[in-house]
Amino acid sequence: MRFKYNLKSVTRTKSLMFWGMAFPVIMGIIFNVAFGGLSSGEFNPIPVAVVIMDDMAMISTAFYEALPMLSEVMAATVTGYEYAAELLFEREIAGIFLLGYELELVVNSGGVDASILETVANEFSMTAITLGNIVNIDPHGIIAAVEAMQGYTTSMLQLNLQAVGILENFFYVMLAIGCFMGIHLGLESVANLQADMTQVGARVSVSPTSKLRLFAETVVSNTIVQFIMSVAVMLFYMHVLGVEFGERLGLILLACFFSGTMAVTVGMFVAAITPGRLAAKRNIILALCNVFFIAGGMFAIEIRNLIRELVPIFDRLNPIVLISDTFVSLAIRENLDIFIQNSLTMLGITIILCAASGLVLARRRHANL
Amino acid sequence: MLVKIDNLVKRYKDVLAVDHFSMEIREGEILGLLGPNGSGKTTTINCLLSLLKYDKGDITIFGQQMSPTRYDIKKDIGVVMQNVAVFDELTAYENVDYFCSLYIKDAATRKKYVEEALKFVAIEEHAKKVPPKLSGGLLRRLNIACGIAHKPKLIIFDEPTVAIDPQSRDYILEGIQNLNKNGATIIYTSHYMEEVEQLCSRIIIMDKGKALAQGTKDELKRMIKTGETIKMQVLDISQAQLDGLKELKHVFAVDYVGEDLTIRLTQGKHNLARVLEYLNNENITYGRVASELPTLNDVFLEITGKGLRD
Ligand SMILES: Nc1ncnc2c1ncn2[C@@H]1O[C@H](COP(=O)(O)OP(=O)(O)OP(=O)(O)O)[C@@H](O)[C@H]1O
Ligand SMILES: [Mg+2]
Repeated sequence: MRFKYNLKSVTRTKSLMFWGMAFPVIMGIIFNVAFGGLSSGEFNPIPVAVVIMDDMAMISTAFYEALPMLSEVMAATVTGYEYAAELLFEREIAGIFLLGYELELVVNSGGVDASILETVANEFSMTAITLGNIVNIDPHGIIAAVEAMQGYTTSMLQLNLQAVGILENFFYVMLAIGCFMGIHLGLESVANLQADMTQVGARVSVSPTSKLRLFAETVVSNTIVQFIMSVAVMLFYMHVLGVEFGERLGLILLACFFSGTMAVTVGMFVAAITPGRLAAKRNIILALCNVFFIAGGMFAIEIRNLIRELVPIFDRLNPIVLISDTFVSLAIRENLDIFIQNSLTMLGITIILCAASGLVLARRRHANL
Repeated sequence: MLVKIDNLVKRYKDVLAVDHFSMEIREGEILGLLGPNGSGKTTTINCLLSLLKYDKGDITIFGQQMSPTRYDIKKDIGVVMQNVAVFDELTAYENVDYFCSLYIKDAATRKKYVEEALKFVAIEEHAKKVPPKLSGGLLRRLNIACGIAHKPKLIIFDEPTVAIDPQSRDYILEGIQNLNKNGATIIYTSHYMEEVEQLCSRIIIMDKGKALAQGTKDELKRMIKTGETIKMQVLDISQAQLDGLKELKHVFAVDYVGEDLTIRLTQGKHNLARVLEYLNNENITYGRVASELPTLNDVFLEITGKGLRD
């Protein structure tokens, strides 16, 4: 019964659903529309301007985050509105995206480029709306979550772009990103077990049910939610977008499971061992992810190479490196060495962090209010 | 004795929030913990519930030493915290059901209890709404339902009426009385003296982490000097006449501000008659005479030297 409510409360938390499921789906659609029938290299990115307005809504933030991933579709420059209008008038760009309370597009009518851009904008907005009414719902929680997540997706992509060509592996990369978002799922759910994190946590703490038991319930339900989201994204890619994952379907599902589960437990572990209230922990997660990104070669692949040389163990255990390498290896490698090695590592990390978080939660008998 | 707190001391870094506080709660009573903002009420409650670690003291509930893992004690306690604590994503019904499930395993019993709790706070018709769709008063009531659905023997209410409309407030106070009639012992914290006066059978006045006085409201009122306050409007009165008033039996303070005359007296018979007789003899015209018995605010004022309200 509580299991059902755990599932419900997570699946109704729209920011978690957005990043874990809606986002990869939207990106897949756009990608597919832009490259439908085309193979890599035949398509010149469409020049566009992006104008950032005050008061960016979730949809606009998400779009901004997605720009690097759309780099094969559009060559975007961030400019002021007037300059953008001038460029459009002189036909140096094909359209202007206005990122504000809504996602708006201005184009010169007619032309193939304009209609591709229109599709991009429409898909982005429309899919967002249908997938849980994300655009106009209660802004507070979402904005906080988005703020905490800014930078992740962009970085994630850069990382992978450097490793492999985007076109061939785009859908693998998107699956990896969806899995990695499980880190937030983990954080948010431990929040409701700890009196110093949330009010609900306080209520749970004065009840006669042990923390350890509730923790175990949360682990199971979150892992399931995370996995279901990955499967849903994958099914969508396969059956709606017609993506072929080949014979390795089962392995990809396994990769989703190991990656998603590890991401969830990393989030839980961080939530369990760090002090402070929920907002503070969101920031800690953000900082930690930045460390992972940088170490994983986000700004420059040289940094990752350096880390690999100096602290090889850190490179081996960096969750972002683990997840993305696992997926990409399934796409590009004949043998399964990396897949097996990484999966085992992720499983190990999951077990250790799970045990450690449970222990910490059970031993912390008093709250730090 | 249902609850016993003995010499509790709780320090937050440099703030001494609870300072050698002791109290006892008898079965069946409604105990009011009355104190201004920051006096240490919530901290005391959190220590009592073993949510917080305390520096010194001894806490027993149902005659047993309380600790975070005393689930046998916790199962009979209900808590309505000062802040609303519900899942925003679950409906009112689901919220009550979730929290009730932490106490009651049997599904059929729980279903009955949840329905009773929703009915008790009269939000049945909102059972399918999620908390963000509920008004402030309804949300407070849902918060109460979540705390009491498992039919606890001891219920702790920490300022449950803060920031709600008078109608919901009366509703809640009445509900607490009913819970008490049905056998629950209640601890009620507040800084509204009217509520405490109306509701509680015994009151502890708390300030700066200390228990300053305790007793029934009549006992508390008897503790202080003021037994009666007589107020009236007087257009003209001389200083000599004011001094004369002060000489009367039982009178210990006379104030004349603007046209308002306030006379404070210790307890005694025929106080008003004596005052009016004096005024008549002195040919002083007066109007709008009112005689007031002491309020908890007077008690608080005399004990702490400051008003109860911020
Ligand atoms: N986490 C904390 N860290 C430091 N000081 C705290 C903390 N919580 C409370 N205090 C301090 O302890 C004292 C008692 O606070 P407490 O919340 O117990 O008072 P209260 O009587 O419940 O007040 P209110 O009517 O405002 O709820 C106050 O001075 C408060 O500032
Ligand atoms: Mg308080």
